[in-house]
Amino acid sequence: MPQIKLQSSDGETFAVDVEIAKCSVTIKTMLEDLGMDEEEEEVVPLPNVNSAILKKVIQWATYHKDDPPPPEDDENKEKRTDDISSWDADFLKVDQGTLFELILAANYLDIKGLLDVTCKTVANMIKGKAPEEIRKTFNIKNDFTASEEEQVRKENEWCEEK
Amino acid sequence: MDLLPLEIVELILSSPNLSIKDVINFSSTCHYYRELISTNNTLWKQKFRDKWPDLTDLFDNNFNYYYQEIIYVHNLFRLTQQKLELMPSRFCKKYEISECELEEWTLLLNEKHENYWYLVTYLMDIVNTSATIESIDVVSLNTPGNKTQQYYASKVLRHIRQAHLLKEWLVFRSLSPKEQLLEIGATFVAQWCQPQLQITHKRISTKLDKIANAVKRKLKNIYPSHPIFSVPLEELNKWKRYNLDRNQWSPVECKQIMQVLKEVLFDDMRFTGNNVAYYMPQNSFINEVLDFKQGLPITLAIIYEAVARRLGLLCQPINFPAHFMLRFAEDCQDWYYIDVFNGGNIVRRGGCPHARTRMSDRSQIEYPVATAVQVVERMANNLEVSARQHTQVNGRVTRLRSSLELLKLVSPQDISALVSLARLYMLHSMDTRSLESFLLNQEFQVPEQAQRVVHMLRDYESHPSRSRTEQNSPVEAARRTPDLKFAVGMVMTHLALDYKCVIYDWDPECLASEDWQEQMHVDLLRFGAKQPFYNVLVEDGSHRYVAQENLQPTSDTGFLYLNDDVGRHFSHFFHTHYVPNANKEREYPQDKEVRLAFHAELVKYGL
Repeated sequence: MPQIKLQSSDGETFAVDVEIAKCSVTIKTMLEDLGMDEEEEEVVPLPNVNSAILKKVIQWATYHKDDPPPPEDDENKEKRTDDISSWDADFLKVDQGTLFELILAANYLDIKGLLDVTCKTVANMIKGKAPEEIRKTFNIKNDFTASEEEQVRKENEWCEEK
Repeated sequence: MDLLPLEIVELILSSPNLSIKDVINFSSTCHYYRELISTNNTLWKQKFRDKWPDLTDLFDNNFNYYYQEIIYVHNLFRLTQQKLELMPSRFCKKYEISECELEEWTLLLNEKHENYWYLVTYLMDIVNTSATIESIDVVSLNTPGNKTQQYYASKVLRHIRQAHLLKEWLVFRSLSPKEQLLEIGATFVAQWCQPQLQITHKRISTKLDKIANAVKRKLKNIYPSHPIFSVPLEELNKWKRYNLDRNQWSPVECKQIMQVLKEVLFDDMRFTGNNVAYYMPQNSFINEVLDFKQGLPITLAIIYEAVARRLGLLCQPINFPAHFMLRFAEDCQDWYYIDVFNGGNIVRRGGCPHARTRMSDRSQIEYPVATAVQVVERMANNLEVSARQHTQVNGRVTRLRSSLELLKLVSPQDISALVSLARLYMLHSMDTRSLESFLLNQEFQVPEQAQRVVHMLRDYESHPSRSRTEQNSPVEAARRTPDLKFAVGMVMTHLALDYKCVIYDWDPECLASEDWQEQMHVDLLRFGAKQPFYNVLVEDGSHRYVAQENLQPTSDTGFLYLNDDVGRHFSHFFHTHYVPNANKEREYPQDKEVRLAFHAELVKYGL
């Protein structure tokens, strides 16, 4: 199988099967646009991804290489699913910084599956938490005054359970 | 979190895992997010669609402020719940709820166009939930699966559906004949009679499209060069939406489609007339007939016509006195009939045994093509006949009422239906004022007949017993007497008649009229009238008044779930008995102990 080399922002290169690399729409377009010959071993620079993250991304892409292509974005489709496979859940047991970097990398590389699953993981960290707990989880600074906070609470009353 | 660009935050928050409340909580962490999130219409649109997927399908509104709309819907649902909470005390003594008593819901509908869809969504969730309750105690009304809440929600659902359909019917009537599709009329009837289901013309139409496509596939195999395969999509869509004025093909090409259509409908899909259970109301509902392939002549004919029209063929409905068929002619001249109830058999003119009358052995009567409105009238008549059958007692009163109210709408001149409706209202002590004003505002061919009904209703309304029932006297707690053996909620068998029933009321001794006692031979009972008598709800849906000596507790209980009226008195079933709703519990506070003792005994002996 033909391979290409991906170079991280800190200069490390990774040899990857072209088919696996192509799960990134960004890389796929790059290869097509630049007419890179798959026979030659070209180096694709990825200045926005460091080696630690790139390694994870490749690991993820390798595991998921035989997945069916993600369904087209159609907002009228039946209810969206909310499950994360157990392999992905294990894979994403990382610190928050890494998780966010993975999201950014998935976004930059345009890998829909990885972006979905990382975003869902963050969503699960938000789920069911009160504002104060969310602030703690993500280190968000509370810049409301006491009276503003009371105001917000009042305005949100409509969504409280009866 | 600051690392992530806003579009990623939006992506995270639009995850289906996060509820509307989760997003609100996140947005309440700081000024920045609060500002950004509350104004993000794309995000709220997504949340709206995830929360109410059906709504998106039902009306294609696009709101400029989904956030505001979500708040509006939440507040509307809260108001709905508050209104539902008030219903049990107000209506627990009534068998049926009158139209005017639900007037407030009509007003709510009129406030905003979308309210109908919102209310329907909320009420359908309550009515169709599969949740079950596992509690030996009285539960609050808004517990999912509470039969009392389901009972009242379904009454309201029925009311608002009909209020909405009334407007739709007026629109349908005003359409040009070209636009009055039979399938829309049939959908209307199905919606009217099955308020708990979400039936849309869009979905019915899709099912009809599928049948038409199956015919085309088969046709392609047999007659690959048929001109239908070069008809542009635009034209096909026109046939779908408008009645045709002639066949779109040469006689030979018509015959080819007809032959395949017949094979597909009757041999492949096995559509057939329901001879076994002819009077089942489902035979009149196009959604049911499309699913189960069995129906009445009229429903089957409507399906046949709708499919044929999609294929460019003109079939016209003919109302025979005792049958319903379609008329067809390859050349639009030499008509013959298609008997859709009997496998699509072809009947030549004058050959229909049901169409012959004594007068016309020789001179054939040409029956005119029925209009869509006449077809709906006939469907409503069929439903009335079906509701009068006693084969299915459960829910029969509501079915009869729905069919008569449908007749009142689609066939307002039908005085005999109006008399039946008046009788039904009076029999169930309902308010008849709206019917009275309907009679006064309608022009009748024989105005005296309508006048007589109006007088009958006025006599009834002015009867002293009416004002008494209107009073909302507070419920007094019943005191048990030593003779009483059984309690409200217990499931019993009748020792002589062997039916199963649940007790929902009792009297320390027989309080029925003397006539009734004589008729029922109460004096022949061992303990006569001086023994406790129980009001019971029977498994078939009837209400009866039974002497204590004829009842015995039973552990065989599952079937009573089928009974529509159970919810008026009970919130749920618990292993051996029904648990009263809050109102019933207040009325019979001392019964709990007896009920629980029987429960304990049944459990002890392994049910």
